[in-house]
Amino acid sequence: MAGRPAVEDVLPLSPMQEGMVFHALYDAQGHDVYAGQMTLRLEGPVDELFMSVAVAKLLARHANLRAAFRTQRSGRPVQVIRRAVRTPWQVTDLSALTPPEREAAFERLLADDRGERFDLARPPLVRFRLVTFDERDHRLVISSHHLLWDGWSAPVLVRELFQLYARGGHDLDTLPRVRPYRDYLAWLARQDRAAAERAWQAALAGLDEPSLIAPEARDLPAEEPERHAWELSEQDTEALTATARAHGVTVSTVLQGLWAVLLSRLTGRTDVVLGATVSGRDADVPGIESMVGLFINTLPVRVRLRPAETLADLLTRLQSEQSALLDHRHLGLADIQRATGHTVLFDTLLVFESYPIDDAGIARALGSEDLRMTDVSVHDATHYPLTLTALPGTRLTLTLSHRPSALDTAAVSAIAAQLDLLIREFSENPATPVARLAVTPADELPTPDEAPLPHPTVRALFEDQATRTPDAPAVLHGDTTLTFAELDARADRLAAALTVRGAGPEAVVAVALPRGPDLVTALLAVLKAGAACMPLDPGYPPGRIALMLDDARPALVICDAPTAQQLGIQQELVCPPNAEAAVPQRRRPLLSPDHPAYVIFTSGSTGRPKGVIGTQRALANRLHWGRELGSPGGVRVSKSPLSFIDGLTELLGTLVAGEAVALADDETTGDPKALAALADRHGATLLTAVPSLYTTLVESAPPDAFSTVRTWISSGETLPGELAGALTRRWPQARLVNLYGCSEAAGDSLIHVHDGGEGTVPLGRPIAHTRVHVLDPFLRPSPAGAVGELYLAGAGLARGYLGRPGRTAERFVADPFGPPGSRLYRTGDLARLRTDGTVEFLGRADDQVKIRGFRVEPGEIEAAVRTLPDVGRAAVVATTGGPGQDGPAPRRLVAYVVAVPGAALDALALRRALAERLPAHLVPWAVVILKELPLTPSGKLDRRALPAPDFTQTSAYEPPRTEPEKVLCGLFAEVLGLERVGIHDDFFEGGGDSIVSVRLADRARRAGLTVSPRDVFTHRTPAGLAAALPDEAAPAPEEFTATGAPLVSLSQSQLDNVKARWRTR
Amino acid sequence: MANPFDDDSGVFRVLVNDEGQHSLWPDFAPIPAGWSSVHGPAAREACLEYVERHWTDMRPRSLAEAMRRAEG
Repeated sequence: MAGRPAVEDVLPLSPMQEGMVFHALYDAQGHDVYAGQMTLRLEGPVDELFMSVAVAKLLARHANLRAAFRTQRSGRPVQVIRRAVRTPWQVTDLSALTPPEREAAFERLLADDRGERFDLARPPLVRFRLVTFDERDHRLVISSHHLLWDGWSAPVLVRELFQLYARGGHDLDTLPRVRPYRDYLAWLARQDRAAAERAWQAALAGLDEPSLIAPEARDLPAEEPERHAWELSEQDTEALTATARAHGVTVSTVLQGLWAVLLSRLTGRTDVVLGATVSGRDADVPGIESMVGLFINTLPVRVRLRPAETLADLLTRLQSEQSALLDHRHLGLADIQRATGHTVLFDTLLVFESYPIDDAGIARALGSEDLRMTDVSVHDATHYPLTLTALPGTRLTLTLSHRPSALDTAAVSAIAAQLDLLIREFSENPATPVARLAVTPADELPTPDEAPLPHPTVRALFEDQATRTPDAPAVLHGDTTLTFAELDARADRLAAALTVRGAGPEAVVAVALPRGPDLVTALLAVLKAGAACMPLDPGYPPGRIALMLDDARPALVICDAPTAQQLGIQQELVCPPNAEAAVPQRRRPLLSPDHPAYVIFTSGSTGRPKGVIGTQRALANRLHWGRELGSPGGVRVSKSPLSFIDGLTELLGTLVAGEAVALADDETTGDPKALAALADRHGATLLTAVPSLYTTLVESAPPDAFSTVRTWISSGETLPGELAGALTRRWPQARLVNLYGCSEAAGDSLIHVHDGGEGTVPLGRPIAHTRVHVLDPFLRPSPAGAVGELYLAGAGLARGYLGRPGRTAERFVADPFGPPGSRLYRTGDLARLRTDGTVEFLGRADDQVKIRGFRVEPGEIEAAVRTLPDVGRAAVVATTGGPGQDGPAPRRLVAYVVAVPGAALDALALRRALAERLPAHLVPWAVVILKELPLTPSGKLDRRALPAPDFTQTSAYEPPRTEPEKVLCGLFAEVLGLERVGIHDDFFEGGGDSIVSVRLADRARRAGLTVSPRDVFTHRTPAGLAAALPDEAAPAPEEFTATGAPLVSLSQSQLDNVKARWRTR
Repeated sequence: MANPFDDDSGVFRVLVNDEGQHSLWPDFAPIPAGWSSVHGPAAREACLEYVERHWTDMRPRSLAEAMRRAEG
């Protein structure tokens, strides 16, 4: 090469090249997925010199093989064509090695070659290496960056190389003139972009979400993919081609359609998008079919699956939808995404290769009988988690390339098996409706032998236990202890009174009592009378209680006189907790397992709470199974709110197991120190809590607290792996059990004993007499590892929703997998199955959220907000932003409200109004007034565009004046996650709640300031707290009082109510 | 995720089992054993209205009958 390298041309990039350059620059260190390696096996003598000259000539002919890629000062990438480049030619002779050594050395060489990254700025981005095994056996390895040429170019390139070789490097008159790549770029520049953008907007209109099978893989570095390849038999290939032809569709369309069906099973969606690589060779550029270069494009293929449509109709529709886009396939993926408002559309790719390197053409090119090309293998890569490559031939070859970090081999084999089955199904019966296409049967999990339930009613389970251990302690409360015999006798007396007053099977008896021995007696008495118990929280707004009483129409309400008055309960319904029958009890009515045992209200999306009626069988099954959670002689703490199913199962489950239940005063439930005192005092062995409380316990429980606990039960919301780890590290003597369930299935349906596994703790496996299914949108079992919706079946299912047959019929549905006539409950939770049958939780299919374990339908709160004056639109979402940034961010409700035209709204006034109508756990943590709700391109609420609530705007900042104020302002800011807090800023206005108050008090104590959570509730501001500090400068270390009575005691519901009241002032 | 039971534009049936329990059911899926169709194919709302009108006693039929016998 003489003189300095001269630039021959500077060209823009094609859209596909732009994407690749972006990826190369984005991840300049890892594996370059766009480096390809092609190996040709040559049999016969090869002239090294002739071959190297042919390579040089090839680079001289094709300008784009000499391209370097650079970024202009403007930031725009360009390709710079050098007039001349060095010939990238190397020779390796392995003939001195033994044949097995040659293979091994060659494999190493290939791997090393793949590891050698191309520098985009240093052309040529291609390497040729001739490897000699012996004089008649050679490999020609061609490695190149995908920026230079695509798969469709390979046959052209190889043919030309051999033609040049055969002619000793002389191409004059023997090879046609090369049509330059710039002609194609010029054609691209002439295309109507606006029309193309409109076409793609129409094609993707109304698409909600991308179709991602491995969303987490997007952030992982590039890696070399693994492959799973298989061939269809000749007959199967023929049948596929013939059926496709008979329906006027291409095999490529068939594979796209079947891939879409598969994708719907993997993603649980019916509106899916896959990526397809198109050759781009249909561009109107003369001679494009014999050009070398990058013409391919990767485009979205959107497929909307309709369950009743036949496969043939789906494919015909798909082909015609695709043909509408034929003129617009020149637009790059990034441009399409920009035009349609999507940042990502798909993560699976389908490549239908139609460029087999045809042996005959090559043989003609070689022009020599002696030298033959006998094999071609291509090592190509992709940054997509999963790519399906189809290579047509007498036997269709299919290859799944997958990123090993995104998908494991077993999952890919399962996908291959599904695809194989779908191809056969299409060939044999294209008239099958989409929803009835065959699925590969999931591996049958062994059904454990389950003993029938000994007593299918709760009262029988309890009475059986009371007979066996009459003198064992049953209830521990303060200084009071009730034995099983005493409790049984008390409950019998009250049950007789209830029976006399009309309670019995099919009747509902409400119980509104504080947590104490009377409450336990009352619940058992209701069950003994054969009625269903409905626990009521007297702290609920009266309007809410009225709604519940109106729905459930209880025969009686067990409560004291003041509560009756407070709740406005008719006098004739009230039964005092100490009532006794004036006349001896009649014979008890027979009780069927199908009679109701409980009525529990849950949040209803339509704006009204809905009551679940659970059966005796369901509750008895859950309680009987739950015996194994504890241990003989154990003590379980009852602390969950009784108006939720967990409160009921926690309390009754203890008694049915023959263990003692230690009743936490309502004042104790949310406070780690009070709870620790209670647990230590009674020697508690089992405690149930929601993860957010465990976070507080790990952080703030006193040293040596909970030393008697052997079992922690986590329930109500997702249990993060880090929290599980922290909990088991702090209390290594206790096992951690994660329970999953809902009121509709007696509280708990799945159990997982934490085994130290990483990541979010799974939901686990079904409890006794319970089945679970993860189903796709067509109600067929989702493959292991794929997202589906979780359905429950078995003994735990409730009768339904009180007085709501329609709502019941849409949630409790016919079970295609169970005994004839049985039902499934659809939970609305998204889940996936591991191959061992363990269920993992993946979120909600609808908008329902869990707030500190409480089930919340944002729709219910939205409906309540919309009933307020001057409110136009409203949206309620759960957010994890704001306070608590130093721990796992707690989830809180935020209401976004838009006023009706011309009206002005006051956020504080709205919150005050909501607190009067809704129970505390449904009152939004913050109300944000917006001019309008942000919408997605498809017109739905754009949650990501909603602003975070801004608590810094609520009051004027006043700096601290004293040292304690300074410390407190700093701590406020720390626990609330705010930038700064003034001395008059209110803890609750800043987003604090009971759990954060514990954290604040804890930090203050460590800083030497005597502050309790109750002080936080009373004084609320740094100035207020500072003023209330005791006089002595050096506070004593925190201690419990001698009686074990907590220094601070407010129940969660009290705290919540106080909070709701305060924040509305 | 699109649940077929929530598809407002879908075609549904109302199924009933021997206990008189009602189930909304998407028309595309085969009817499970032990259930039979009593309404539809029809729109979702129409099916739910049918359920509201006809499923007036949510007790399982065998239980309701046993209770009647016990009273009688």
